[in-house]
Amino acid sequence: MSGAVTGSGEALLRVEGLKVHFPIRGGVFGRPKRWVHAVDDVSLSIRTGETVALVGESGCGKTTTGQAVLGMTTPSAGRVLFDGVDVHAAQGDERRMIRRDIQIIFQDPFASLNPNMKVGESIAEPLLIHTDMSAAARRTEAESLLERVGLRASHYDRLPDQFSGGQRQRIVIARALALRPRLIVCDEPVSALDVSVRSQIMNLLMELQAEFGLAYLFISHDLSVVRHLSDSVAVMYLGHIVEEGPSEAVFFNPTHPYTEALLSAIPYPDPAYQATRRRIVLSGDLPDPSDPPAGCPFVSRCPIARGDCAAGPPALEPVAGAEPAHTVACFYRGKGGAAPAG
Amino acid sequence: MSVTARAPTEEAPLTVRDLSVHIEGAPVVDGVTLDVRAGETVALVGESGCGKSMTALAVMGLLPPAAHVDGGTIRINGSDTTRQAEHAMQRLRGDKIAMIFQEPVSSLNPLMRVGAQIVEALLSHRRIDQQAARRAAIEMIDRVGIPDPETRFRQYPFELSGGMCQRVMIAIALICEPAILIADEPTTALDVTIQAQILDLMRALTDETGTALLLITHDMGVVADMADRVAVMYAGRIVETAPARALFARQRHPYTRLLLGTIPKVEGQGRTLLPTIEGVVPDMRELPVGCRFHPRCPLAGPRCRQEAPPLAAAPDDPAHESACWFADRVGEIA
Ligand SMILES: Nc1ncnc2c1ncn2[C@@H]1O[C@H](COP(=O)(O)OP(=O)(O)OP(=O)(O)O)[C@@H](O)[C@H]1O
Ligand SMILES: Nc1ncnc2c1ncn2[C@@H]1O[C@H](COP(=O)(O)OP(=O)(O)OP(=O)(O)O)[C@@H](O)[C@H]1O
Ligand code: SF4
Ligand code: SF4
Ligand SMILES: [Mg+2]
Ligand SMILES: [Mg+2]
Repeated sequence: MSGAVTGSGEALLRVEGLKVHFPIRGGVFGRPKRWVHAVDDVSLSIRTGETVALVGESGCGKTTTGQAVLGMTTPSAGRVLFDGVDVHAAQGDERRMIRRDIQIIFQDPFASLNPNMKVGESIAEPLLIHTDMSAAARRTEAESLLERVGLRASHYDRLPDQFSGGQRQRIVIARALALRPRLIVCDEPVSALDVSVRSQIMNLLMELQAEFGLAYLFISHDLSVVRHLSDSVAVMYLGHIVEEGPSEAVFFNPTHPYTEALLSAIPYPDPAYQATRRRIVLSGDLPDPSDPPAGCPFVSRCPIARGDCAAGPPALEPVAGAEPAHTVACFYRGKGGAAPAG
Repeated sequence: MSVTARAPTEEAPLTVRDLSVHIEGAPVVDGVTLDVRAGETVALVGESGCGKSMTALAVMGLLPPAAHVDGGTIRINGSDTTRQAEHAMQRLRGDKIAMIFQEPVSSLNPLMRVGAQIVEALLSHRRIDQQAARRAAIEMIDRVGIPDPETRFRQYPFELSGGMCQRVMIAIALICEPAILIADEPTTALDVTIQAQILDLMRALTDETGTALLLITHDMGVVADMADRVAVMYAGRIVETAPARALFARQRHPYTRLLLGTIPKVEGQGRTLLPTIEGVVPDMRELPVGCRFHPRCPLAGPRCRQEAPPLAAAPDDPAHESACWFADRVGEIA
């Protein structure tokens, strides 16, 4: 696969009706009293070479979705299919295939490396676990990965505390690449980095994607980063996807009132332009996910909510007059005709 | 846009001249000069470790024990605080000058209800009765955008989310309507929709009460949204300062230009490589000789490796200063 920038062909990853509910224990017998609806009916698909971004505010369920894709969290309902194989039911060879083919990069490059292990050994560790490569071959491979991510082969023997935040994130990326995965779940991979380092890492992720035909599930709360990297975007709110579509469609034709508010809240780095923008300021916070509102998840903060919005949750449906891949979950927006103003 | 200089002859509430601070021999703040006038917002920007927080903490008189002021003067509302006793500084803090700290949760008292912490901040500087203080605190909790303020008033910090704790910190800083507010990355930990609420609140404060705001951030979007003037720091020094619009329109230091270029923009083109700044921020213990930016600068010449450039005004704009030998050529950098 060379230079696959946009996805092609069949879905590599398919998430179908995923729900993850965590119990909040209480009472004398420790039986669950309530449930946190961390992920509530999420579906998405990612093709080879494609980047699908999950965006939304803190606590909306992005990380939990990513962990379910990795098989680290058991779904309460729904399925995760990787290359046709159910990630949570896979056994034997299929399970080993999945553990090699799906990797993760976390937000915090300080916490995700063992401080007492040489960075080269951290990178080679997956090779030790999953392959029968010799020690010498593993070292050679780790050294070439170090060079591929912009470090030096001679860095192999150093400990993590001798590297800056950006360099550590390069090391984490090298480790994620070691098994030549097909999908990487990137959970806020640049959020902890300084601006100048952030652009270096974003470029590296894009270059590696083209070189290895990688697919990314890219989790971020930073919409400008997402705009830059992704082919398509899913906007999450309180465990639900409220809008989804090709990156251009979602950013230039935001249809859900929440997407609109999110985009309008990002300050643009140009004072003259920023002064002319209309900002939709939402009131209130994300509702408690163990006590979600009945009906539309956004109803408590929605500037255009009406009485019937609380009746039942709106389904994700194609935006009228837009590309079929652009979908929105709102009773009033994207239905064609005159949309109510915010 | 907020009011700029009220009366140009009146001294700014905050003036910092040639401030230097060292930690274990490293000059973490090196000759910083800043004014923040009444009603004005000055943004202090720069990458991690460049000395923004140390500058702010020096102004507050709250430097960590390892840090020492080498020289310079800090004047708050006309009095030189570098020569004042600690108890005088204590009286000013929270009253005339307040700060919103970078780590919100650790700066609240975990054993005290949040309402009581706001009331205490008010009562330690104002002679009003408990009931009035309580009403003012609840109103402030509401103004920082926390729903259901009466309930929140009675809760402990652990019962609030990180974003709410940050807003409680902001309420404590604002409750006495300080003449000077230093906000150190006040919204970095918050979601953009909450950030928008907090920025609105700070804007109202500078506009309505004439508070001088020193806003520390690394987010150029926030700078564009809030600042009247900007000071860019690199490795302990201010390398460029200008009115915000002038700075975004034209940069006179290569670092500022490159920094602005590296920012991904929501309304920009997707799926393209971003410009980057080569290399890394220098270690404050092993600073390069001459201009501290020279190892990463595309314009660097022999002079840059020997002599540190002073902060100098642009020939056509006295309000636009930069520390670069080749300030006129910065536009050549793509
Ligand atoms: N193991 C768990 N047990 C109980 N609740 C959990 C658990 N993990 C996550 N949650 C809750 O599920 C919800 C979704 O959390 P998640 O970490 O997926 O959010 P997120 O979108 O990644 O947020 P952030 O942007 O802050 O990382 C939150 O309300 C969180 O408190
Ligand atoms: N308590 C401390 N002891 C020793 N060195 C310190 C201490 N705090 C900060 N420093 C050093 O002082 C320098 C300036 O730090 P400062 O906190 O002012 O940076 P900053 O610009 O606020 O960065 P950030 O954006 O990460 O908050 C850094 O090089 C840092 O390593
Ligand atoms: S369904 Fe109603 S509450 Fe939900 S987003 Fe649409 S208008 Fe707002
Ligand atoms: S003085 Fe020289 S090295 Fe420093 S910023 Fe200017 S051109 Fe670059
Ligand atoms: Mg998360
Ligand atoms: Mg700081």
